Amino acid sequence: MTKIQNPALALLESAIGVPLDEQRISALAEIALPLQSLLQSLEDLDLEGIEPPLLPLWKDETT
Amino acid sequence: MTTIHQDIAYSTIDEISAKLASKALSPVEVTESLLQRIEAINPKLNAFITVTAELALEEASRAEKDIMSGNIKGPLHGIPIVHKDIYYTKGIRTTISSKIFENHIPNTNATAVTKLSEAGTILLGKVQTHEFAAGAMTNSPHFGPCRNPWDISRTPGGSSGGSGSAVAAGLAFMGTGTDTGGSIRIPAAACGIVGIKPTYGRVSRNGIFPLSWSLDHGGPLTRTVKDAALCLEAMAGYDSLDPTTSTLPVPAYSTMLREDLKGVRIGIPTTYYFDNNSPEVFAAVHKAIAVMKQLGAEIIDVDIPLLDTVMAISRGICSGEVSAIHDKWYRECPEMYGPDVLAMIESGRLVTAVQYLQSQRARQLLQEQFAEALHEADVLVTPTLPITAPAIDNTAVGMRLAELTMPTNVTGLPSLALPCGFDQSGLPISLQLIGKPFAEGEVLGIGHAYEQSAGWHLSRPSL
Repeated sequence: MTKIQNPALALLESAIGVPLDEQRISALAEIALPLQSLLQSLEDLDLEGIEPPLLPLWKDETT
Repeated sequence: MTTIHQDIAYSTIDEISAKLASKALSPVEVTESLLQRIEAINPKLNAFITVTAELALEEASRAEKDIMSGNIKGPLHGIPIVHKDIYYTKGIRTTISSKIFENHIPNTNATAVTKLSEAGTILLGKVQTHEFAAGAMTNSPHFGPCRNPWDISRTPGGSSGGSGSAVAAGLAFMGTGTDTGGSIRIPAAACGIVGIKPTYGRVSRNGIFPLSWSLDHGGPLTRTVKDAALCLEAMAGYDSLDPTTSTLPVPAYSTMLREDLKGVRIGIPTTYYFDNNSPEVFAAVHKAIAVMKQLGAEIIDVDIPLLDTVMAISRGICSGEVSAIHDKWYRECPEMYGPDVLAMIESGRLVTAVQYLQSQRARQLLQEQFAEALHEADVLVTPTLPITAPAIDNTAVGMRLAELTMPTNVTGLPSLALPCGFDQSGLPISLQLIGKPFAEGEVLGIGHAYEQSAGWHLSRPSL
């Protein structure tokens, strides 16, 4: 019989890249949620016109 | 430990170099002396992962022949050093203090290893790091905690804690370090020695296991500013194997050391850096600023408002890059990581591409604000750590250790940590000098003037 998976869990496992049980999800939430909350503070910055740092794709005719 | 061993062990690189050049000492004597000291003291500190005694004696013997025949390569010829076990060393085990790379023997050298070897240094061994350099404590679950020579119940800081511990204990004249959020400056500060994180692109990252490509910097830990200048000169320079290295010529930093600070404008950031210091750190750094004023510096306030987002910017960049670097091993063998590094990798896998790129864009705003502050001032002075070295098992304060060092990993600016006192428990306190891009010479020069006037570098731990 095919096991029906919770779509939220499937999405989380797909992002993390490994299977997760309930205990592992709790441990992950404990560290990932504060990080997500910290990163939300970046949403207030005005980044209009700024590109991320980029390296040239080519240095000369051959490399 | 005999007095002669102590004298050699705590000499500076330039003092030993002069004795080697005048043949008052031989590289073999110096190396044998340090190897005996390592054997006696390392069991207390657990700084070394691998001691390369046989190789060290071979290299010392070769250096002795060269020096005796007048073929002196420079001030580092015959000087015994250690490498953080994240710098690849050809034919010598390089573990990154990890289980995954426990038996890893590289077939090439890191560029900085080659440069230091060509300068004539002698390799005593490979020293501890926090697992994968991903933390500020140097307490790898695989190799055991490294200890601070000033109090062995305390962390030496990290991630370059092995270099910090070994150099402070007189087991080597210099240790290499890497710095992604403070990992050269944190152990330098916790162990009462000098550490310089140069400008991003000044020292090649080739052959150094990455933690976070755009935040990683290589540099030296030494006991004096002059020794740091000599070692950075040898390590720095363009490298075609690292596309982020600068083509700017490397100045002779050791000729740029100053005796006073006349004409120097020192900026004191009005926010962030002094907000959450322990009272003893706050007082010691302000006392150091007063000494700099007596040496002729003008002290001004500078404002860097965006510092309140620096932790978000740095975590957004670092988490994404760490998790990408470890993607393969995380999926194949997550059980081989220690719990704190595993948590860092896992939480980073949930940082989105949008968050990563916004962090990279935001770092440019912070760079602009630092550039404005450094337009008004020649250097900025701050504490290196907000507290002194915590107990080894107090991992909860680990992230606090990087609070004041992290901003210049984000901005890539050169930053020097040097001692400025001790707390009531006898633990070192450190100040940080932050300079303009590629102004390592200026930063070292100012640091030297303060160091020589204050004299904190002459204190030694009892071991």
